Amino acid sequence: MHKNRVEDVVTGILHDALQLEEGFAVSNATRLVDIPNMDSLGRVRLVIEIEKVIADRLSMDEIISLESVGQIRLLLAAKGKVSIEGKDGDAAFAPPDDCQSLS
Amino acid sequence: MQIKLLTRNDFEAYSAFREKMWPTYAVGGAWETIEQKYSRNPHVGLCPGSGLYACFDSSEIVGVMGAYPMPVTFEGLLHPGHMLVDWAVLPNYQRGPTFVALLHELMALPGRKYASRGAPESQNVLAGVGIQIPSVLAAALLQPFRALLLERLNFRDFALPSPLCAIPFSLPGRAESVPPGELEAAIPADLPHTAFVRREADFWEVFISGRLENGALSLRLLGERCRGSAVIKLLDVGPLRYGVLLAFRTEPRTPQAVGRLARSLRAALRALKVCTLLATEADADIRACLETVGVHVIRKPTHWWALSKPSDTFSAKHVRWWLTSADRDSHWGFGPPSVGVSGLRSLTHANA
Repeated sequence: MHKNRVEDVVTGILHDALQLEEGFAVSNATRLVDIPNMDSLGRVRLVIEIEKVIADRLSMDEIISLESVGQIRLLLAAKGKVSIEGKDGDAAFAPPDDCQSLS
Repeated sequence: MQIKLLTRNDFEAYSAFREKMWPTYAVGGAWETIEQKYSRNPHVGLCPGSGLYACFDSSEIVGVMGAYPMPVTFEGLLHPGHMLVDWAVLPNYQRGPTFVALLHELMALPGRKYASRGAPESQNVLAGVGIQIPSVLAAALLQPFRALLLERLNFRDFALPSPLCAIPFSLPGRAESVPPGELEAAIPADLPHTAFVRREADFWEVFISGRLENGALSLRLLGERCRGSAVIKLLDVGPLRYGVLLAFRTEPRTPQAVGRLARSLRAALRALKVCTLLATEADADIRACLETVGVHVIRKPTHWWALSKPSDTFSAKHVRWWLTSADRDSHWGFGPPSVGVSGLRSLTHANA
């Protein structure tokens, strides 16, 4: 099992937005451009799914800053929708250096 | 990444974008058409924020999206808004946030937002944010064999504007080309509960001044105890010519007048060797006109999208929409090519 695998609302968002194949695993380090099915419309679906979860609109800066799964997670954490702690109590991932502004 | 409204000062950056986006399609996204559509179009003044927007990566344009003015009249009031059109993103940027950033920025412009039907791949995305405005696209066949050739071989993807002479001329069937300044707006028969875009002579003057890009022609139609007008655009593919009915107005507004003026239109179209007349059937008058013009009429359902916003002043679902072919922004002229790498199709087939 991948240490940083995300098994939560973030995965749900990605699967809903991009119709990922069953068993496709993402980690917080996964870059969005590396996810199959990711294209311009996929980005739109992703933003729509995130906005559904947070029940609010994303700002332009937030939309542009989404480059990895970890950044989605950080964004949702900043909105109080997920914890950045792992389900076993361990830190699930180390935020990338360029994510600090979202935390 | 920065998004801004394009002006003439951005012409060089836009030209570079065109060359990368449509390297083998010289007229794709022609600046002349953009100026007509987004600058000289009198509806721009009614809908703040209208224009072609570009996403810049440093000084390079990597994507564009247009806010095409849609001043909708409903219950006697003007409801400004935009149709979001002319979407194009460079292949290398299609997996990134360029498109969604443009969409986000333009959705935030003042007024209601709409989208045309778009590519099949985009339907589920649009369904997530919009309400369908159903419509019917009809083709009246004047010369069925030529019309069949045109349709079955997808020749319409390769059409160019008909090289018409701008000097007014007379046509058989009591029709004559007239200066667009003489046109009056075509409006729906039943105004209550009907939403529509009113296009007066000032709109048609600008539009028809771009006839080299769009092949537009304004006609006065005469019949026994009736008169009217039509705006058509004529396009040629080799020896095949077809038309699009953008506006049709009759006085008085009776079935008899519609029939007589449609017969005048039919004679004019035959003289111009038009094999097919396409139109969005906004109402019974246009439907009856097409029935008279063509020996056969083929119809297929289509739709627009009303993209919902909290600030919407009325629900798009609960009104009767009167949208004509003039409401399709593509009638302005050369847009992105229908074949090859362009627009939304390219957005869903990234090359990165």
